[in-house]
Amino acid sequence: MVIATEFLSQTTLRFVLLGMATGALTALVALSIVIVYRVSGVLNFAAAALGAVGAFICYSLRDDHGWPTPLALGAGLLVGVALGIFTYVLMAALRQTSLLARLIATLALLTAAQSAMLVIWSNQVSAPSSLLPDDSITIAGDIRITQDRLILIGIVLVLAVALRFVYSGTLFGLATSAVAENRRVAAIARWAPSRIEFVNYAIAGLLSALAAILLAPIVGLNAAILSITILPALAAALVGRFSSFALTVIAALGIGIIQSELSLYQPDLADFFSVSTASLTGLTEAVPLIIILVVTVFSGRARPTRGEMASRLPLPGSGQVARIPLAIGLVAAAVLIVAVPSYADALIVTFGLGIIIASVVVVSGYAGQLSLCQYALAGFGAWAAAKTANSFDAPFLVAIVVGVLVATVIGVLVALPAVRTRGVTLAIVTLALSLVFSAIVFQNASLTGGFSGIKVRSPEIFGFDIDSFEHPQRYAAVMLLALAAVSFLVANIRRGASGRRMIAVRSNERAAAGLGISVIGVKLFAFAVGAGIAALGGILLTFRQTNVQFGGFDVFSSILLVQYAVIGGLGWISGVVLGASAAPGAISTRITNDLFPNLDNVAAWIAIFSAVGVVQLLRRAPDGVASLWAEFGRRVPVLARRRAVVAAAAISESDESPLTARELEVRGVSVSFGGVKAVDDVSFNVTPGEVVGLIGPNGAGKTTLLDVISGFTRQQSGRVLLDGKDVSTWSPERRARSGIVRSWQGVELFEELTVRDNLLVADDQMSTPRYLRDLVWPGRSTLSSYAESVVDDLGLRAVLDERPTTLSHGMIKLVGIARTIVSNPSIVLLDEPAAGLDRDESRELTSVIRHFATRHGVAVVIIEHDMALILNTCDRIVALDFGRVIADGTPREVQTDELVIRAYLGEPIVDPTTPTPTLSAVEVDAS
Amino acid sequence: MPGRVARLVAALIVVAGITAGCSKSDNKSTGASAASSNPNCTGAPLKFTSIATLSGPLTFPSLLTEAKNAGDAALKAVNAECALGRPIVINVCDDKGDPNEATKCGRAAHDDGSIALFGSSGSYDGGTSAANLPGVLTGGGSVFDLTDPRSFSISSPLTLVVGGSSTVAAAGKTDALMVSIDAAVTRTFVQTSQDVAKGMGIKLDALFIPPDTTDFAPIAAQIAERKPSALGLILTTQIVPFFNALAAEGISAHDVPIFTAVTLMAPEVLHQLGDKANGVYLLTQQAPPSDKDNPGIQQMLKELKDYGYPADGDQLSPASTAAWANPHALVDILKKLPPADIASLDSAKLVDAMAKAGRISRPEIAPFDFTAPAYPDIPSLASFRIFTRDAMVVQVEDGSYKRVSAFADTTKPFKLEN
Repeated sequence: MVIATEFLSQTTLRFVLLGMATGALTALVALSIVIVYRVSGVLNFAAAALGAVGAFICYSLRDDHGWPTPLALGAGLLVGVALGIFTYVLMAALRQTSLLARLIATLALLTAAQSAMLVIWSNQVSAPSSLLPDDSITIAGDIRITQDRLILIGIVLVLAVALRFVYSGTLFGLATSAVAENRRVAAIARWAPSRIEFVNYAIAGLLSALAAILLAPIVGLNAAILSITILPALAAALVGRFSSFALTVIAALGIGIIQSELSLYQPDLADFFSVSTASLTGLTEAVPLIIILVVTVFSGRARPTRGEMASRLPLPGSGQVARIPLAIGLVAAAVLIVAVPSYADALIVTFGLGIIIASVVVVSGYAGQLSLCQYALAGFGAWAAAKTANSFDAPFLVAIVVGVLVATVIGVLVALPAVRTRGVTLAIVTLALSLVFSAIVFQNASLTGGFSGIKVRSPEIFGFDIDSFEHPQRYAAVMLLALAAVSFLVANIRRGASGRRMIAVRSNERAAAGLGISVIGVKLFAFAVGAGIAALGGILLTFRQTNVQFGGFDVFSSILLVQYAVIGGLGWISGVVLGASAAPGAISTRITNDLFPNLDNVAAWIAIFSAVGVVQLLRRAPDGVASLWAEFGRRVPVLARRRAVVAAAAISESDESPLTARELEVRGVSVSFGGVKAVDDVSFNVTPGEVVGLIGPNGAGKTTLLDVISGFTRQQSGRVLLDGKDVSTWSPERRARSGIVRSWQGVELFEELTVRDNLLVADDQMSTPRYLRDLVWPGRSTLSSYAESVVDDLGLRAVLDERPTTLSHGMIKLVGIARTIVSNPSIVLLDEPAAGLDRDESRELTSVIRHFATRHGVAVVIIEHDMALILNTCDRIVALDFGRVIADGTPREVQTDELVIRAYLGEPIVDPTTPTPTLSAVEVDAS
Repeated sequence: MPGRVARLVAALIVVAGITAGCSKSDNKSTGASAASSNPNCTGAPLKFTSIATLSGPLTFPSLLTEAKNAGDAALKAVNAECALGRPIVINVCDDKGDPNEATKCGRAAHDDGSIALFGSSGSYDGGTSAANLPGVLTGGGSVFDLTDPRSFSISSPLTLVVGGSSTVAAAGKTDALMVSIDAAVTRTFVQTSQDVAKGMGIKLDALFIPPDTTDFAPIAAQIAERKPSALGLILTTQIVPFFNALAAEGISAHDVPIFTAVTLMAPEVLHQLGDKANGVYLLTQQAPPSDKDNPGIQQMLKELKDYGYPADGDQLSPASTAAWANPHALVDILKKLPPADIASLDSAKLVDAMAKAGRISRPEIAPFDFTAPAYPDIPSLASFRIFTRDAMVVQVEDGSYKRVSAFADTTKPFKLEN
């Protein structure tokens, strides 16, 4: 027993060490990722691939050209630094673009570097002799391990400590943090932001090259293998929140250890679960990722915190169908299919990928959820369809329906992480999911038919043979029709209320929730629809073969899919074909092969040129090529739009109020953040038609109180009552739907939407059937008569078709208020509505609020620093200081309240010989 | 976007077949020039098409080069002899690693008068589906090769998989560990191998490696922990790092018999591994060119020399043998037909000829017989169109291949000569 225990512990310890060594390999790349992310917010997918170039140079010079090792090493590291600087130059050129655009640029770099290495050094794997001593040694009794592993672990730990010191204990580190926080402020403080970024990128490049040079003797000198280390590195960096070197290294080592131990105990686990060992193979890859997924999701937040802004994404299209260009495109495609039969196969691939890219348009382009698992979902749908066709001898169309439905359900499950994560984190989470799909399903012979794949019948539609080899043109025509149908569906979504809601969510989750939009519902809908569309594309692509196989649905393909989507335009359905054309096997490959029949490595060359093209495109048209087309199209007057405006204006005369009068009561509410009481036992009520001002100095707790009332912050004690009903536990969305609606300090309009669409988002009457109806019939987007009256009241008609970014600050404020009012509120919470307005606008706002409360019987709570507005508008004022109510009364009462004046002016209150000041004379900062 | 791992696995396991088709070195894209150098060999040429990946980031470019040379030499020789009374033309179509290009190749084969796919049917089903032709003397590595009723494969990686157990038995062991990259294809291979091993009384465990594995040290440590009596390998390109990891664990072929397919140990791999590869058993269905006592090899080296190609048998691999043997085997089969049938040969008659050719024995390749599948007694293999049970074992010795057994039935223990 003792011997057994000792053996177990020795073995376990040995695998811990080996796992740590594996993790150390990952950690080096992860550290490089973290450095770049810290300073620029860019997730560098190319880190490992660019480092690999340095490794190839190093070992090529040493082994093929006889350079001394130190010189070759120096050259390799220098190349790494140079490539790091090149990445910086590229990112600097793209600084004005969205964060996603820069992320895509790193993907393009990854593709270009990988392809270039394949062209130059082939796909062969060599294992150069190590720069480190690699003899095996025995430590701690009987633990055998090579010296280079221990040295690697040591290097990584030292590096983590050194980087921690450099970035938190030196002036350079301070400067880096300053630049990362705010480039402008850093520049004012006489830091040179560009120089700081330059140095950081150079350090990251050096680290990447060092990592690859140390890795190559262990894992093999090969572009694909060295590049793939980016995946676990991303996972480790994610755990380190892209900022902590120590956490990143610990995570990398932890992942290595878990994988190592899992592989050791895999047979025991198989015994335990009474399954074959082979069936658990994917677990070693999947389990660490699943752990990270769970941790990330649970440590995430259901909605962003105050001040946390979503990174800008490329602008979405309008979803308007340009009939003439569409007709020309369809006819051209049909002619191409008929007239050039040899292009049919390439067109099949182009259209199929176009369909899958359309799913990216919905999920990422419209809903703003950066998903890197759409291709995996396409594969899953194809797998479900193939299983159905094979097991039940189901006809082609039935298999399609089943595959799409199954993928739609899976899409909803995939969306669950998106409920609590967003942005880059979501990208990595979905990338991990993609890997899990691949490891557990696509590589599982028992699920995928093994060697032969899953056998299906040659596809037919109502008895019409569309076999892609016998009748490639027929199959291409079917693909074209499917793509056209999907394009209409996606355009419908965009034009409909569901599309507006998606863009509202992508633009600002808090603001969307504040209007009663179910953020979770919108995300689930987007992922479900996206998965269904992706599945359709996957099925149509794979069913070309009668032996359906799934090896192609790998992780890198999922990443590349987003790159193709960005080429066409992430939010533009009209760009999907263009994006798909750049993929291997698509029409660009066909044309290149025809133009250069003797060209070797066509796919690699196309990848290189595509990558260069992507970078150029991101600089000149960050919203995609389709946005350029649309810009051209915008010069042509759109009759339909004019009609809509005229029709809307005609119905704006109605006097009918659709609003329901309700009373708000705040009873004993307290909120603490850590040890600080932000709101302390606050009680007040607002009756229908009443306007209540909420005033107090900085930090008095006013906005927190508004957050509590609207549901964005949960109180520790007390209750919020709506018409006597306790709504304290309700979500912000539910409260908004019940009539508690708010505006925001920062306005927080949905910038990608026009003013009209911003108002429509608030005005739309949504229901689950409406989401489904939008897929096929979005209807005409017109404002209700009530909303039209608000537009007229606030003088917004002239700007209805403008985007908020083109408006003055005052006008933006008015639109924000209009959006709040339009959303059928019973209780309106206005957070500094007059900030930034001039005196006239402020006066106008006063009358609007008063008129609105009186006419519709709406209860209004208003935070404002403009005391004239407060005094002229409010029926009652509640004054707060240090979270407590210090006064509650009419404006006149509060105006002269001693405690209130003291709170604003501080001790001593006043000279007894001078007249008592009133609040109207005090410049109040209520921000 | 076809799968990287699947592509690599497919490329490696059928490399013999692919290279076997590479008989025209100067024509990578579809072409149809007659290869006859004999002015008296007239008549309409017998056209065949090989679909193979000849460009792109090739894993082992040297294998392709030597196979091209050997195939070209063989074709020139049979045409010079005009053995069939009409020249043989083999169009080699480069699929460039692109499924659509493979389909294009298949369509071209269908349209240009080719009567069959020859030597290699390519890595993608699209090519074979579009060609809609029989496949003759192919590598037996694709779904088409193994399942299509008009497919007549001259070799098969599955036979080599079966041969693993025979090697284990020959080495006097009763258990082994099969280490395989984890992919749908390889799982089928390993399952088959285990089925066969069971029948031979050998316990064959499996250890699957995730396809994206970069660090093999924990894998090697696991192998060391399991202390296997013998080790079988189904890996892709990372065989060198894997062997390095094994060496770090103190595992070598001298202590633990290691066996794999010869196609996974190309000459450049042997060169990189150096001493670490010594003693590794390699299964093959083509004799190594270093086996200079073999009359077939002697003829191959002579023809290579005659047509100006490198002819040092110690520097070549069995890929040369595969490519060289194919045109000669084709002649062996078709020569059994009456001249009138040869003169009017089409796809249907070719299929008939193959099915009736009976056992073909050539000294440099495993004997085969297209009359019936070779493994009716092994359920997991019975449905596959594999036509030979035989393979031989070669052993790595200082960077070259040394034959250590004759061609023999893979379901019985080999008789090793050392």
